[in-house]
This record gives sequence, C-alpha cells and structure tokens, in this order.
Amino acid sequence: MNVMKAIYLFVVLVFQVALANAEMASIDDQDLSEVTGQSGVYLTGEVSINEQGGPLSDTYFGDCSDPAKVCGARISLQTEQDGGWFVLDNIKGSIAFEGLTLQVRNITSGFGGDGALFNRDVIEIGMPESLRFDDFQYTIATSSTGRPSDAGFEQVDMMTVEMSGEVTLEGNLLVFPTP
Amino acid sequence: MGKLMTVMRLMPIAVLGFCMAQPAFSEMKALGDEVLSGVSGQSGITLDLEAKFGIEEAAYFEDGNGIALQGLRLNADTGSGDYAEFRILLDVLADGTLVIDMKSNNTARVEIEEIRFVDTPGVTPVADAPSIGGLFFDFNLDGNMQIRNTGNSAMGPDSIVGGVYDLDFLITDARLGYRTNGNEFFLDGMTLDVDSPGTILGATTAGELALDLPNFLAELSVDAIRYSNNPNNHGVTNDVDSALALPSYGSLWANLDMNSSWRARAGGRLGTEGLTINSQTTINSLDLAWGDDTDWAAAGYWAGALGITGQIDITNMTLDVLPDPDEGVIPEDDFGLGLALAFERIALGLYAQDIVLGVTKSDIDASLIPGGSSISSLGSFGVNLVFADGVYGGNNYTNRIYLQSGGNVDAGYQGLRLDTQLSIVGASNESNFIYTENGNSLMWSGFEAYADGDLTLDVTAQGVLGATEFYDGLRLGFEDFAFGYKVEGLRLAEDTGDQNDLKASELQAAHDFSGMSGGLFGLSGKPMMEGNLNGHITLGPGGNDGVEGVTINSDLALSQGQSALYIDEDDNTRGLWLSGLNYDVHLRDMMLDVTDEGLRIYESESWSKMDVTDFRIGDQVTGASFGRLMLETYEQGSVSTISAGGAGQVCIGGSGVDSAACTADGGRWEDRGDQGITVTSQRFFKDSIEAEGKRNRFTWETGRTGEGTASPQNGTGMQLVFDNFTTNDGDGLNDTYGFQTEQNVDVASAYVVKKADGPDSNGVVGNRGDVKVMNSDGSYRYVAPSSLTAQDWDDLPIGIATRTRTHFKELDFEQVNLAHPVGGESTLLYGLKLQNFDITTDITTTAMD
Repeated sequence: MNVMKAIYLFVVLVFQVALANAEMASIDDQDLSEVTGQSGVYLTGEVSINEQGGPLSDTYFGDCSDPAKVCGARISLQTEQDGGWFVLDNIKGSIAFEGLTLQVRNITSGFGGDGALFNRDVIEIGMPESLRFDDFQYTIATSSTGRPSDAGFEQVDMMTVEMSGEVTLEGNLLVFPTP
Repeated sequence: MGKLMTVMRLMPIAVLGFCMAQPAFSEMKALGDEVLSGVSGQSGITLDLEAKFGIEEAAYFEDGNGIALQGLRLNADTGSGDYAEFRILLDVLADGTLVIDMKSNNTARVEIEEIRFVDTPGVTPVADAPSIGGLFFDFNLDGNMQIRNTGNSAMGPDSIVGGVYDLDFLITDARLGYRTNGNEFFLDGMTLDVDSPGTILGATTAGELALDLPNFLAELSVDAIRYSNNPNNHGVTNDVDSALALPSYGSLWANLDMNSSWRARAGGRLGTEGLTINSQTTINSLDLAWGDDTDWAAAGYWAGALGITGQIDITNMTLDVLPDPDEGVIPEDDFGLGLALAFERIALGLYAQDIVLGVTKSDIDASLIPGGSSISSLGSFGVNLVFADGVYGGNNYTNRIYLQSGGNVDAGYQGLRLDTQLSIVGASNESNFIYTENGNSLMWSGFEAYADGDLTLDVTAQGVLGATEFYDGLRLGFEDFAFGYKVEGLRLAEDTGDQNDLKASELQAAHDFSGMSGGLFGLSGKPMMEGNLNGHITLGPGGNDGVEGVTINSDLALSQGQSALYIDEDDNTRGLWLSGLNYDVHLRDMMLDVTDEGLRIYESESWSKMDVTDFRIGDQVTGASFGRLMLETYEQGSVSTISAGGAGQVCIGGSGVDSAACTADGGRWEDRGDQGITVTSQRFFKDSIEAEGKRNRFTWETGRTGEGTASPQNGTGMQLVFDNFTTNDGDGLNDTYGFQTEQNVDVASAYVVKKADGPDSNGVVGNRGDVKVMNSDGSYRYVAPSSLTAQDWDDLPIGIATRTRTHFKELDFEQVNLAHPVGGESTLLYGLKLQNFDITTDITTTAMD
C-alpha cells in the first residue's frame, strides 16, 4: 500500500468514524433489496499486521518468539507540547473477510420516507457476513517519550485487547459528505 | 498501358541513374588492372562509384507551400570532402530478370542539414530561421535487388502496372541521428537486415501509386542509442575532444515479419494538391526489446515485448503543407507552415505474447526458437485502438498532426513542434487494453481518449536558455496540451484466445491501480483522467546501475484536471472523483535500468504537489464534496522495481507453507501462478526544505467560502494538516530503511460467497454461504462449500488479486495542525510516530451480482 492509498484509507476511516457513525442506521430488508443488483465491486481477503514481527530490532522491539520484546506495531501521539504520549502498542494479528462490497449508491427512497428527503449519493460499504480475527491484539498505554529508544523512556500499559474468532457483521456503512 | 508499365519498371533504375549521374560521371575513373581482374569471368556491368554531392535545397511543393530539405549531401562519414565509395554490378539473367548488386567500400553518409517549410523555392534561408533540425544516416550497404521479368500484364486484384522486386540487403555500421542546436541523439552501431521478396511497386488502373510488401522480413540491431551535447561531435561514437565513448541509453533490437499494402493518390485534405494514403499491414511476428549494459548474450538485461502479432489499417491519411490552424485565431500559437498529417481512421490491434523484464538476450533467443525454453514473463498484453473522429466531453475531436519547425522557442532555432489533435473512440468497445496472465484476462473496456495541444521535441543540453532550464537529453515538451481518457469499466474472464469472449463477459466497476505512487507515477493507474499539461520530460543517457540506462529530468504541471478513483459501470458519470485537480511534479536524475530483477527506477530527488479542490462522490460534476485534499511529497533516493511474477502461492485467512497447513489453520490456499506483476518500492521521505517548497504534508480543508458550490475558494476554510512527515530508522537520526512496499498483482480466481438466502439480483438461487462458480457459457451457479469439486475450484470467477506488503521502521509526523485563515493555527498533535509496521493486505476484487 502506498502513501496515497494509506491516506485515502485513513480519510475514509476518519469519515467513517466522524460522519458515518453519526449517520449509521439499520437498513430493513426492503432497503437491502434495493441494494442488490446494483453495480460495485466485491472484495475478499485479509489484512495482517506484524504477524511475524516488524522491521525494528533493538532493546524494545524484537522477534515475536522473544517474550521480552515487543514485536507488534506502535503508534504514539503527543497532544501537549513537551507532554507525555498516548500509545497504541504491540498491534498485531490478522483480520480475514469475505463479502465486503463497495459501491456508489444514490439514496432516493426507503428509510421510512427519509430517503426521498435525503436524495444524495453515498459510498456504501457493504459489511462482510463475517470477519475472522486471528490473534488480533493491541495495548493501550501512556509513555514519557515518543520512542522506546529515547532517553528517559517509561511506559505504563493500561490495557490489552485481544480478539480471536468470527464476528458477524450485517448491513451497510454509508459514508457521505456533510455540507 | 505498355508504356506506363515500362515507365514504372524503369523508374527505380532511372532514380538510381539520376543519383549516380552527376557525381558518377564527374568522378568516373578508368578501372585499373586490379579491379578488372576482380570482375573477370563475371557477366554484366561493374561500376565502381566514388560519390560526393551537395544540394542546396530540394523541396516538395503543393498548393503553393513547400517542405524544403536544405543542405542535402552524400559523402563518406569521415567528412564532407570525402567520397562515398560503392561497387555496383548490373546483370540480366536468362529469364530477363535484372539483377543489381550494390556494395559499399566505405561508410557513406546521407545528411539533411535543415528541414524547413517555405513558400518560395530557392530563397537563401536566414541562418536562424526556424527549422526542424538535421538528420543524418551513415551506412555500409551490401544489397541485392532483382527486378523480375513479369511480362506486360497487370498484377493482382488492383491491376497494378509496375515491377516486382526481390529486395535483400544488409546495412551495417550504420548511424541514424537527429541533430538540433549542436546536440545529437542517434542510433549507433546499427545493423539492418531486410529481405522483401515479391515487392510490387507500380500504379493501379485507378491512378494510385501502389506498394505491396507481401513478405517483408527485417531485423534491426542497435549497439547503442547515444547522445552528444558537444557541438564538435557529429555522428561519432567517441567524443572528439575527450575521446571517451558518448553516453548511451542502451541497446535496441527488433525482429519483424509482416506483409503490407500501401496505396497513395494525388490530393490531400485541403486544396487541389497533396497526398492521400491508405494501407493495410499485418504483423505476423514482431519482437522488440531494449537492452541495458548488454553483450547481446548472457550479460546485461533486457526489457521487451515478444511475439507481437496484429493488424494496423490506415484509412485516408492525408499529407499537406498547411499554415498553422491557429493562424489568425491565436497569433501567439501560430508557428507558421507545417506538414499536416491527418487521417480519417487508424485501427490498430496488437497483442504481445510475452512482456519480459530483466532477462538476457540469450534468454530471449532461446525462448524464440521453436520448442525453445520458457521465459519469465509478466504475461501477455494487448491493445486495440481506433483513431477516428469522435466526441469527448461534448467536444468534437479529429485526428491531425502538424509537424512544424522550431521546437521549444527557448531551445534554439532547431527543433520539432507537433500541433496535435487526436481522438480515440471506444463507445462500442473497439478500443481497449487487455492483460492476460496464467490463462486469466483483464480488459480495460471501452477506452476513449483525446489530446489537443502542442508537443515539442528537441535534443537539448544542460543549461538555462531564456526563461527555461534544460537538461541533457531528448526533450519532449508539453505546451497547453489538453488530454482526457476514460474506460467504461473492467471485464475479467478466463482467456479463451478469442477477445470477443472477453468482450461478452460481465462489465464491472473500474477502480484505480496505483501500484506506484509519487513522482511521475502519482496519477498512474486511474480509470479516468483529464486535464491540461505543461512542462517537459527529458530523457538523458546513463543509469544508476552500470553505464547505460535512461536518466529522466522532468517538470510537469497538470492543471484544471479531473481524475477518478472509481467509476460505476452502469453510469460512467458516477463514481469517486478528484475534481479541480492540479498536480505539479519535479524529477531530478530519475534513472531507469533493466536489472536481473526487472525494471529499476531510482529517483535521486523528486517532489510533487497534488491539490484536489473537491473529492467528490456520485455525479462527476455535481456530486457532493468531502472538501479539498492536498498531498505534497519530497523524496530522495527512492527506488522502485517492476518485475515479472505475482504473489505465487498464498494462504488467505490463515498461515501455512502449503495447502494442507493453510487449510488446517482455517485458511484458503490460492495458487496465482508464475506470471503477474510485482512492484517493489523503497521510499525515503525527507525533511522539508522550506525555501524550495519541498515538503511532505497532507492537508484536508473543509468549510470554505462557497463550499458545496461549483467554485469553492481554497484557503478560506478549516484545514487539518499532517505536516512534515518523514521516514527514519526508528532513531530519528538515520534513514536507510525508508518506507518499503511490495505489491503483487494477479488476475486470478476470486472466492465469492453468497451473502443471503434466495435468488440474487440475476435470479440465480443459492443459500447464504454458498460459493459462486462460473459455467462454461458465462452464467454461474452457487455451490455449497462442502460440495466444491476440483473443477468447481478451477471455475471460480476471475478477479484482480492484489497482495501488498508495507513495512517501515518509523514514519514520523512532525505535527498535526488545525488552521484557519481567520482563526489562526493551533497544534492538534505535537508529534505522531508510527513505528515497527509490517502490514500485509491481500484483497481480491470482482464484480458484484
């Protein structure tokens, strides 16, 4: 994935979080039936993060077989100048999916009559029937420095989330601009 | 009839005689005993010819305007005062066939010093009057022509009256060069072997000049494609001042087997004079390759297209000498007279069996002999293009190119300008591109395009002239060059060998393939794009690996553009759009080499800025906007490699080194074959250089004045800015690892699962969780996963499988800001670091039901 794609994906994700969640609504069978037969693309595959570890190897990062080392990815962000860092650490695992669909959809009806009032195009992300998490995990932490290799590094791991197994997702995620 | 035939048959002899006449007579010498002894016992006539001549101007005039070849000369390549030497043997065989053998005794040079357009013949030109530049051709000829005695009857369905010629000649130690303003670009060490038996040259009863090549075979080898920026050099391999070999772009090889038929009649597109040409050409076989640092055997590597077959038909191509179409309309765009080449229709269909990258010449040769070894290949690639009058975006376009003199106005008085308008039609899917690998095909369907603007071609040297900075090499300039293209969608199916089967397969939405990004490739792979292009691409000699290769310097600006990330196949006006697109890209010493891994692209320095006024969804023009997106990049030392072969065998949804282990882990084993495309890149995002406008930054702006209208004002809204992102090795100091990506693209089977019980949109019934399986007639059925047979697995739908691995040690954002022109700027994040990432995505896309 190149930077452009990553950024577009990031933007889409931002929109999903900031906008789509606010507009998300369950779609009844009638609305769903209007979706079928429309154009678009069907996606299947998986995304894996640091399943075999990452490229860094130092006193903090290392091989996944070494319990003393972190082999997952790390995101750290600083919200205050010269302040501490919020950290998502040791991100790793994989997510497989089948049946994710993507299309541009014009909503002009349905939704209990709101569709006719809405009358706009949306990006419709059709949820896959199942998402299979395979040892997907991350740790939420706070840190004194941005990098574990920085002088004075200290970190408090607050909680670790682990997910394995199948998750059923139905319906569609609609993404649209707000004027 | 008899007289005409006699005239046509004797025409080549007359031409030859004319060429020989003046110089030959003036230089005719008595044959010495030694020479006479060499021809004793032979029949016919032997002529030893020493020739040098110069013609101040030879011009072709039609309708009062002419194209003039000035300073036309023939001499030896050692200097204009030296004679070109030939031995010519004439003989008549018992059956009446005239045999002409011609052999060079030294290397001859034919040269045209200037090519200009004139309205009065014979007027001494002003020295710096605009000129296309000069051409030269050095050659050693060893040839044979036999003019058959075919009697007095007309030949073929067109009743051609003329002669039948068996041509067989070999040109060695040749150079073919183009020179502008003291700089040269030429093919050096060229060998051309041509065999064309049964060539017919004559006239039809309809009054057309006829040329038929029923069996044309040719092989071209070029040792080096060289460049010189030293005005003292002229057609030399080594620089005359330094004695060093002139830098080279690499070698070139082509092997052609074709048959072709050409007809030319009087009268062009405008006026009463001119020329109109029709032709049909069948490419039976063409192999074409570019070699880098090669010894033409096991050393050095080649990129090429092998086993090309196809057809090229030209309908009513006209040649006229005409004034600039902007004459009296846009005076500043009026560049005077030009050779106007226009055509009613060109239908081109070519299919290359193998696209190879990173193979040796020995590998190529071994693969081309019958029953020879296989060769590592990206797969096959086909192109079908129909150039004809068409409508694009509501505007009418035709096909015509004006070849004008002068080139870029700052580069000097010599150069070539192409005032161009092109139209490719594809509403009935007559134009498309096809990629086939491992038996599966992908078609970019219904390709339509246009171009309208000026191209310039100059051989330039490094330096600033006027207001323009030039670089060493062959410079292709764009001046207000408007262009646009789009596809109706994608079609995927198993390859049956019949393109019509692929055309009949289901159309699916088109999306972008941005396998490479940044620099020159920042907008590559889009299903639709249009805009206005200015700037240049200069191709210089020399690469990063070895001494040969191509060095690219470029400054391009795309303005008033639009591009699509996704196009709905049912309605091509709906999709995801980058509207109001402006893109500037600058490349410094980007070097291309062919290596054992493939085509390697090394970017010494590049920076770009892509500014999208509206990221639209839905309608292309009126769709709602997510706001403005702006991406600036600055890189040094980035490297990309394009190589043959895709993902190979992969385990989706699990892990395992083979099918059993993968399945046991809950995954799905896929074998995507040995063909496909892999693009690897290692990119280094560097710290900003504020004074030079170079930085890495992503900006998203919304809430602008006029937001939601057709003309929002950029810079008036709230901006979210991810500023100055750079790569490093996780220590904030060194940057040797960069941002690495490996992308494998295959056309392969797609595992499509039914999402609901009952009939789908096409009325095909299945249960939730069933797998889509294609039938032989293009329809499909659903099969329970537990009931899938081996044949069912082979008959899964075809999709585009993209496996991408991205890994980096650290991507560091200096800060994330919120900025507003009135409210000012505030820092949202004082630092954002992404470390130790290694992400693999494996996505297959196919059509929705």
